[in-house]
Amino acid sequence: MTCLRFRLLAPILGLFLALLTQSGALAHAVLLSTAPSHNAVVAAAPQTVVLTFNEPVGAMAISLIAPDGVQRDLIDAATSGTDVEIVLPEDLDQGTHMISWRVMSGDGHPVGGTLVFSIGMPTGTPAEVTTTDPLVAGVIWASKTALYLALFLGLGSAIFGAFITPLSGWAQLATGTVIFVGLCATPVSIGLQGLDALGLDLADVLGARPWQTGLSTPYGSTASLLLVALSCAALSLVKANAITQKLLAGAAWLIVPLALVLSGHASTAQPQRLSRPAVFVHIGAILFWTGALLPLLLILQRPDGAAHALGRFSSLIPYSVVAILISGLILGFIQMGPDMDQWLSPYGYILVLKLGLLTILLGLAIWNRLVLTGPVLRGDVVSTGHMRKSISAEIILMVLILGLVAGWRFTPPPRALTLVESEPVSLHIHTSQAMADVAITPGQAGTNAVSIYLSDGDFLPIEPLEVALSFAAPEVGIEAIRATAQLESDGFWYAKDITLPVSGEWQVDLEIRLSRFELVRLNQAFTLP
Amino acid sequence: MIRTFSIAALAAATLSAISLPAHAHATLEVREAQIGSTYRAVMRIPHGCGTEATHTVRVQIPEGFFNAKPMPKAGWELETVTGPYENTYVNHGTELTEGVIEIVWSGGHLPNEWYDEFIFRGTFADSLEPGRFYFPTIQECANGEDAWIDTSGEAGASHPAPSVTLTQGTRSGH
Repeated sequence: MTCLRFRLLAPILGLFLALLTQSGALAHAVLLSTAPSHNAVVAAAPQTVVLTFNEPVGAMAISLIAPDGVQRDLIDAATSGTDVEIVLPEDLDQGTHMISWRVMSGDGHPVGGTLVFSIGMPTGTPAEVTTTDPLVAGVIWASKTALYLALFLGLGSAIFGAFITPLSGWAQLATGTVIFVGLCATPVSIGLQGLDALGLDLADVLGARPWQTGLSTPYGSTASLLLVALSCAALSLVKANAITQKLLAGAAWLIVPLALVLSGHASTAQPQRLSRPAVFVHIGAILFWTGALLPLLLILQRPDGAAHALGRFSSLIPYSVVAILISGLILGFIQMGPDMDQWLSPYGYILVLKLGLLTILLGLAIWNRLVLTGPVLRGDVVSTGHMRKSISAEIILMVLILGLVAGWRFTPPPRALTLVESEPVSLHIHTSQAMADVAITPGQAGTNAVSIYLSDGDFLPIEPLEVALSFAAPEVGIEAIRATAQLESDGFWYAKDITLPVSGEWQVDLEIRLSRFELVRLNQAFTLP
Repeated sequence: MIRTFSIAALAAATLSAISLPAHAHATLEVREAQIGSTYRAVMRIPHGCGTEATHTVRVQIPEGFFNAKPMPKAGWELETVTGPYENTYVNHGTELTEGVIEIVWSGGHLPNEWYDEFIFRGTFADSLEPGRFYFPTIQECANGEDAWIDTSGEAGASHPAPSVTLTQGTRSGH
């Protein structure tokens, strides 16, 4: 009985449901404006994004696509109404972000689109090939080298002093001096970084602008953190109790790799999930190794106490070396990129030199560890002398390597060069009504320029009134990114600054307005490498 | 119970599918016509261009819909563009070689919040094939237009041209 009654009720219930979904206004919602505006570059991450429509709408799907292509669902952070306000997460990276949105119009018809905006600067812009004034470059290189020495010799020694064996008086003085030089060089390097970014002369370093600029770049936060780390290391040298010393040196040991993850070629390489931990481990392990060199050299000059320190160090160093080699291999492969031809670049040459010096350094370390350590621990005087010489050589090699690494600052890694020289994506769309040759340059995830050459089905040129285009990646939930193309004197239609945030399958849709009443739609799927 | 709700949902979906586009896009009231029949077209304009009021409505009369005559509309100036037909059509024994190819209602004021209808009539030629027959239509506003001219028939089209589905007539002519 009940069942029958419900069956009779069903169509009425259906009608009611249908009416519910389409009550209110009878039109498609139209997006009137957005804040930030489409393709805007904003200095700081906005707290909210506001989409303003001509009528109240209901948010159905809202997602944020970060510069690294990671997508986050923000539907719970969005309001409905005439203004759809989306509260953004707080930890947004620099670069180009997209809000892919889909809303329900008052008439029940879904409308979607994608808003593109950049924080700081757009990502995917090809690496700039800038020329730096040789004098500025030299000073930057010197400050970087001084900074690296302070970190890997000075700060590293403080770690050794805290965790392996207390530093002798001489060692403490040497370490303190190197750290002090680093504390002076770090702030200077911020101003120099700004100078280079602005393309100014060395004399301009006295003004405020290069410093402000330097602080606003990712290097600004790196340098600030390094200052904190160096200060911790300096404080740990002051003979306090062992726990405070370990805490301070341990903090310094953690902060340095963290700071270097924040900026630099390597940590911006994709995939960041791999490159960032690799940078962290690489730096942390190198600190342990290089930091031991200076204290060990000085300890070996004393007949007593050497055995204990050397014994502890040599039992730990193999782990450190394995970590350096594995993380270094990972970074090397990411940085060099898949294109072997690009390996013969200045970046590649520096890497080869570094690897050469590193091989010698490793050879010395292995000789110390396997051949000399035993006799030295037994008090053999000749071996102790050999080891002192060997460690001195290691220190010199390390200074050379750090100098080389500081030179990397001026050479883009091959993967970036590949980005600049990559092939554009070319599409040929042919129907009986019209034909389009579409080129998407550089044809990589990021900002692209699109050029379109149009002809009719018989290859004769056509002169449409308007050409609109849209890109969508329905498989990953990116709604249409729309743009209009402009006709230029060479007969091509151009749409610049089209941001395609992720690699993968895309759909391009061209709407060609042939005459007042004639519209031709061409579409094609393509793969963005 | 589940079955009842399935039926209800299906009914809702069907109703929505039929009625939603009618409200959202510029459409014709009568969606089906027989080949060879006269047809009274009621063009429904549901909204302005975004937020702006519509001041002009243009309808293209494609080849195959002959002897088209618009209905005047209070508050709007009416104008027709005539031109030669590609084919010759017979209307009650008279041969027609030219006629109206575009109808323009202008000088009106249809705010975005309001809805209106624009009416014309004509005859679908015997020579037409069954299928969709499009009347590309353009709404013009002070600072833009909504061009309902997409005849691709794609489901996702944002501005489909208003259309009638032509079916084979049970009789030829009348």
